[in-house]
Amino acid sequence: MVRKFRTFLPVFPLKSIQSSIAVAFSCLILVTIAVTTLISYRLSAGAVRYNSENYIEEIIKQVNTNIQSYVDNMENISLLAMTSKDVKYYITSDSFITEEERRPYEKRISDLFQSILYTRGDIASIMVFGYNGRYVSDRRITTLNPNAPPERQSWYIGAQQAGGKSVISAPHVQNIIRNEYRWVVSLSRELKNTDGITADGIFLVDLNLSVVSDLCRQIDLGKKGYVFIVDPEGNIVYHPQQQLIYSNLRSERIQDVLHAKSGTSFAVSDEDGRRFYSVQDTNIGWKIVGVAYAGDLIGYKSTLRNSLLISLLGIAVALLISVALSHRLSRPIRNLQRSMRLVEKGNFEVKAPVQQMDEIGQLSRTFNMMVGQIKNLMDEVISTQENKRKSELALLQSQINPHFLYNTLDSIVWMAEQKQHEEVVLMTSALARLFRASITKDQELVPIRVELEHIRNYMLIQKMRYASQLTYRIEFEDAILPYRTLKILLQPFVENAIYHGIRNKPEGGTIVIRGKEQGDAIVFEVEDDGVGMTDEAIEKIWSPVPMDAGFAKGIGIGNVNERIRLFFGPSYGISIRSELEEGTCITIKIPKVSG
Amino acid sequence: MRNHRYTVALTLLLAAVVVCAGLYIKLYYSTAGEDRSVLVILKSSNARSSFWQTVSAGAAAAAKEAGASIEIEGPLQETDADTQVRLLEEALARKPSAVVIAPVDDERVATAVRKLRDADIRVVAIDMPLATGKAPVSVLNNHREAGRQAGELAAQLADGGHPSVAIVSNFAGSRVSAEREAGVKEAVGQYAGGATQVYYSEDSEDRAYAIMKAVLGMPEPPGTVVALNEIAALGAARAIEEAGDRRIKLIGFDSSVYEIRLLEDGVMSALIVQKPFNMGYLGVKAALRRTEPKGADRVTYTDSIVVTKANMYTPENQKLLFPFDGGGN
Repeated sequence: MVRKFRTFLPVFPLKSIQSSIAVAFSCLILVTIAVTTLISYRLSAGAVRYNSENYIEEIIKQVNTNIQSYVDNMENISLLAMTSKDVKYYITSDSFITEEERRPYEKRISDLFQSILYTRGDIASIMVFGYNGRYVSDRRITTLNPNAPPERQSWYIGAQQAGGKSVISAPHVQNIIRNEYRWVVSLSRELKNTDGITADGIFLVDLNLSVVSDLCRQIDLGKKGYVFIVDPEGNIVYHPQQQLIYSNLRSERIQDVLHAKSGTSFAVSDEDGRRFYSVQDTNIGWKIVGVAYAGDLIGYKSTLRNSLLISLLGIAVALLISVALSHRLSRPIRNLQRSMRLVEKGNFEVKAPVQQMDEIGQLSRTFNMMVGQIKNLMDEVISTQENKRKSELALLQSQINPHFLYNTLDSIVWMAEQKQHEEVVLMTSALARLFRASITKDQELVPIRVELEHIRNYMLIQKMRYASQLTYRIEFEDAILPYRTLKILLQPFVENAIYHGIRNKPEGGTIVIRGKEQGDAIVFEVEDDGVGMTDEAIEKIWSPVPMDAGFAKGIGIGNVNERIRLFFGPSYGISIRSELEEGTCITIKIPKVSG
Repeated sequence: MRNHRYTVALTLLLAAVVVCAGLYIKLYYSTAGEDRSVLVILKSSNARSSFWQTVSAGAAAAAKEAGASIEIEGPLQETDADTQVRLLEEALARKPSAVVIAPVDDERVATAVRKLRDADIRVVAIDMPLATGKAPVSVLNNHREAGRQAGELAAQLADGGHPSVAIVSNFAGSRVSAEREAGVKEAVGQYAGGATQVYYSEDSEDRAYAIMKAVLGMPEPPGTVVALNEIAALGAARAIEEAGDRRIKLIGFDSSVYEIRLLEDGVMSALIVQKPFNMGYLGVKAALRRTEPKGADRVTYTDSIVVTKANMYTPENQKLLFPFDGGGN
């Protein structure tokens, strides 16, 4: 459980190549998609903004055109009235129309107004007020509101001041007719006499405000967008939430709008949300303003959401692919890892599968070769160790060669019977030293001095046994004495020289044992002038003596040679020079090993 | 196989993050207001009641501003509690985000509202509080304050001090009238010698006419008559017009074309006009608030203004007295 936890919990640092690759890919993909999404979002947001601004501007222009056409209509109607002779005669101050003639005039004018009104649903009323006190409207019977005399109305005064030009009023409740209260926009104009200088009266056309407000209300600027109109003084002509603005429950950016030029737009961002104001001037002075909220411009949100979903989907797919890819890439590595783990446990029979000759394949092949090599080396080491053990065993056996012991003891017994006490003492003590030297097992390497002592003792014993048949010389350079050599290295060769070289020669022989320096090496020589050996015999000597062949055979030259090489390396060892009937010389070469 | 589990865990984690992000964005966009809905139940959906039409115009404006959908319903008669209860029960089945109600003064309406609130539907009361029960978030007409405004005006009109005011109320049990009456009394009572006398017209123009006639015939008539609703005002005005005696000032409530004409003619001295558009607007706005307000913020009052002949054609008051420009607002 603990192990399981540990593998799950620390996600970083990542321990496997697969997860590293997966994470690297994922990061790369995430960053790429994030960047492209951001860029495309910014581009599309910019495009949306640009398009929506154009769209709003177009719509506002449309509203402008419509309002303009209403105003133009009112203007045309006023021109019609101005050019009407009936109207002129009726209101002129120097009127020749008598009271009796008045009725038909009134009827004709009223009919004219009425026929205009029938064709135009947007006009609320048409009236004419003469300075002579007469007035006509589009109705048969007109009862004026006694509380609202026309001369006191702003449109009346405005027209008088404008002197013949038409005047457009702000929207207001028209209350000059009794019991009628209608929201209208008034166009008023002073009518001139035929002389063109003196004024005769005021002409009034009222446009239903509902025409304007309906127009504004029908404009679709998204769910929350709207259109409003202000006059040049900043008074609201139309606003869908006019009452809220009057009650200070809502504010509108009227100052900003008044400062904005026609055909421009500006963005506002506050607690009500981000929105665009598009301003358009009409030639009657009003400013028409379209307000669109950034949040609900058509197509904006759905495209954004779609593209977001698509990029999310892309991310998910890319992540899956990256995981699969990293799995696929790291599989050969994991296979190799599995093989390695087996080798770690000591199984050298493993062969990593080589699927493709890519880097991993080559790695696997090299790994296989390496494992093979290791296996060979291991085998070699095992056999070497075995041989070493065997030669050591043989050496031990040679040191206690029983025949040598029996012969020596026989010699001692014989000397004792001859009452040669001194010789007995000498030989016995030499034998004792010999055995002591060979029994000390603690060190493989001994100083040459000790080896020299050993050979002296040995030769002493042999000299006593073979007496005049054997003469010997030991010639060691003093310089080599402190160096070390393998223990009991020379004894087998001396033994061979006696038993095989001298003993079979009736006249006896001489053995010379030398030890000298030769460059970086030390060379020992065991030379006899015995029977010598044939080449076949030399050949035979080299082959190691099988261990189970019995004690008598002693230790083989081959075995000793092997022992030297194992110890000091292949450049050292033994060489043999031999002539039949001349003698044999054995040369042993070892490195200088200082003690 | 440890590595394998690793990457699987990592993948799951990333996938979860991606899904969460997607959902979050989707939720963020979808809860931004478009799928909220408000049901408004008025006292009257009668097209000829300009007061309630203006309330619904305000409600619609607030819904448009918030991007929410809105439905406006109501009985034809202002006292039709049965229809209101039926509409509330239908709302329980339809489950809108919020319900705005101008409750008829009836206990059954209050019970139906409580059921809605138990079903976790936000309820906002407008115009008048519920007859009984725990008060929901409310946007109310401050009738007492309106009465006080009328009383203050009456005191100002009585130049020499000692304001004497006759109040033509509706029914003795009407809560609206009782509030207004209390307001008038409170304001008049502040002045030295201030006296009030209450009469009940019982929703009859003729009774109000008779009351006014009687007042005019008094040896020492009061200086001002305050008519607490439109019917009473019209009746009283008829009596004044007939008598041609303009010594007694008449102050009315609410606004209609008839009252406006009487104001223009000088028969009435002033009208106390409420702001129904604001009430509808604030009601729906409160209903669409993300969190229900607590404490004192739970009740909002809409104010009323005094309209006289002098200020009736200012732009603000024009819009208030004549809310519609012919095309509906």
